[in-house]
Amino acid sequence: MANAATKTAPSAPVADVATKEEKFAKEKEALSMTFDPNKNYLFELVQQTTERELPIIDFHTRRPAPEMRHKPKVNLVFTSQVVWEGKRRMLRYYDGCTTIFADEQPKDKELIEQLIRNNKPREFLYGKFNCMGDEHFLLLYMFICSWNIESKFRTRTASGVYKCNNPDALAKAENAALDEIEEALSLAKHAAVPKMMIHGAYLGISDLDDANNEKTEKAFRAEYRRKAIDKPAAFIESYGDKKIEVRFFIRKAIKDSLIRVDRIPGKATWGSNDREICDIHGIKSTEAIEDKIFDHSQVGEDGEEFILQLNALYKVS
Amino acid sequence: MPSAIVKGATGQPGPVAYSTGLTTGVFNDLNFVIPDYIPGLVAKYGNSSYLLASEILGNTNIEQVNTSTQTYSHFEKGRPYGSGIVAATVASGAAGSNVTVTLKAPDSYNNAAFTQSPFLVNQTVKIRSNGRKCQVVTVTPTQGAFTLVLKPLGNYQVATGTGSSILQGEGLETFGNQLAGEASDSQGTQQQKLYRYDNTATVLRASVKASDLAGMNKTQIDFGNNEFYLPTLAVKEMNMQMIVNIEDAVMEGVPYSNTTNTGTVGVMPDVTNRGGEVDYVVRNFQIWDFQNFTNVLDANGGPREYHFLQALTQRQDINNLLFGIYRNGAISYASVGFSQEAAVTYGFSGFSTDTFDFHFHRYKGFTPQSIFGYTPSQGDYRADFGLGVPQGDTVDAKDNTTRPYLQWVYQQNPDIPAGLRIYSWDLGYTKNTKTTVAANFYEEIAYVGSRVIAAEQFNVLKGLQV
Repeated sequence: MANAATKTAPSAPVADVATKEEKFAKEKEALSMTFDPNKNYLFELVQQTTERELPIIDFHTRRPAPEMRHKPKVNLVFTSQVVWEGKRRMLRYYDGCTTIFADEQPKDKELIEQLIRNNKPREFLYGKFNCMGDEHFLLLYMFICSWNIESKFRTRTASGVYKCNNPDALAKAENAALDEIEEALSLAKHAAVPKMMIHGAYLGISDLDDANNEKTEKAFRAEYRRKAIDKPAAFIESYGDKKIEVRFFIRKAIKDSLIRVDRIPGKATWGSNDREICDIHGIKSTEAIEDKIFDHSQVGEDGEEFILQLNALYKVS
Repeated sequence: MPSAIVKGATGQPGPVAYSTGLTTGVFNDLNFVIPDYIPGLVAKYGNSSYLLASEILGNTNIEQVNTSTQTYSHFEKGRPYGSGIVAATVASGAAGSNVTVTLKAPDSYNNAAFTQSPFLVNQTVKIRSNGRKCQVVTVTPTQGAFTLVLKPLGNYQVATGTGSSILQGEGLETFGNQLAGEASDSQGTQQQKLYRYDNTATVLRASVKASDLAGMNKTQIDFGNNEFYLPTLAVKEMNMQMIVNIEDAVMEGVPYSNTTNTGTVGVMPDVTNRGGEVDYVVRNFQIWDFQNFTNVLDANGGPREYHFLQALTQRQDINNLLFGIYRNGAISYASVGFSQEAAVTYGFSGFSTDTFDFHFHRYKGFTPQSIFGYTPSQGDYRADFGLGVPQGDTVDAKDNTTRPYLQWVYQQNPDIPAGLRIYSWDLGYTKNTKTTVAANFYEEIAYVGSRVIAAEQFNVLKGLQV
């Protein structure tokens, strides 16, 4: 057969298998999950209820009744589509079945409907659903299905319903938050006084007490440390921000008349020699003038020169 | 296959905002006269009164009432029967022996401080797993860990099922003192929880401003009632939008904690916080989804009849199921005013199962395609959504009168005629008091909120996207 197609050798199957295994490693890993039969696994609804604008009053205490953060009751849906080995695949859980893949389950419609009807309904009560580790296939379904927002097999379009309440992950987040507080507190405790005053002013700490007297350093630092506890992330982030210092000194310089905004109409000038800093024509409020001068300080050589002079006024290196 | 929107609804983004008011320029195109025309305006997207839940559901579900104060209240009482959950497993000992159990938090307590439980000395307590009865010998009210000493009333163990321990999670139900005896003395009291629900009327406002000339220039279009002048159309639109805006405010609420104004709580926030929710997979609604629904209604004491406000897609899902199962129509139609033939032709309007009757109503308020003419691409919080509204009257806990479960509550000026919910003024044309601007103003304002009674009996039916 002169025209017969040339036979080609089959491609190497070993290489393909290896690629497939690598490619679908997460599927393999998911199916090999084991659960401690004596452990309770907890899942939590993702969506929290909105806080009621007006509290519900409890007659017994005459105080606002506590509001639950989740709906009282939401059922668990036992079918879900996932992306499995690159394709959509249907998961379906019912009690007593040894696979969660619908295509591997009995095909007889009446039988399957009967099995599903016999399934025990499960519910999230006030946002929580518990499952003991001996319910292997239910847990497998819970971890893999698309309703779980942490599932690696979610379809892009699936509604997110719940997540696994992982104590280790929660503890990790809690530890990270505590570390942040410790770091912020350490900065607050050891900050030099000028730095503390500048940063404290930015954080909204007044330098005057209730009697309108200037706060002592000790009193100011106590409040400063309290701020570090309240919002540690914002505290750390703003602590190293040089722009805050510039803004602080602009405000102070205007207050001390080292920068004048009233000597030449429409101009901000240095108090010592009336040299123009920038144009403030048409701007009325002090805050807007400060903003304008600050903007000037951030642009080009003129800005750099301005900051040098400003720092020299307050002996900041 | 359930239908999707085959040709996407258009008309987006809808009306034009004229921040400085209308002028004659708006109608230039319409003033083009040709010999044959219809002297009216056709609504391109049909009847635009899209929402109107009160019209859909009728007076048995929603009533419109007045309030004389911006803040208004109602009162509800809690469940009258008390129970607790065992916090930790305890060995039962010999038959007839007393057992001390600790009550689990938060399940067994009525308040956040865990100091209120329903248990009293001498009460008869039933163990749910096996029905055995015990008597409460002592109650030690340790915060969050009340302990009960339980004495079995018969010659058996205080245990779970047939075991020899009472297990963590066991349910204990109170049934008063069933064994008081002839020489009994006065005892403690149970009283269900009482709650006050406050809400406020939010203030909605709309305006139409039209130049004098716009008000004087006659068009050939009849905007209704032989009105041919430009502002008539804008005022009509304002009226229609006002009704829709009110409905959205009372249904979805108007948050205000980040403002200096007063809004209103809204129906949906109350219902979604306190009512149940049943989820199903879209385009795959099954009979057991209905059963999940009725289980929740039963647990929360819902009445016999429910009216659904539904997105059309959910209505289609339910029709698909019911048409599949009940081809010969084992359906109750009479109470919704349709003939059986009509119901079969156009979709199921009523359905009875598990002692509950359901009536289905399409509600455009859940569907942006219908109202705004676009299909969301980044999620839709009301997609395939349905709200089960209990029908009938619930008894007012305070004065024993009966009320529908939903109210639209209007605050009304005493000088305004009764029943006028939206106030309008300056609905005239040029006035001799005009000062600076040659324009006419038409203003509407409404003060309105909602009252949801026993929100626990409402239930959400939600399709999950696959």
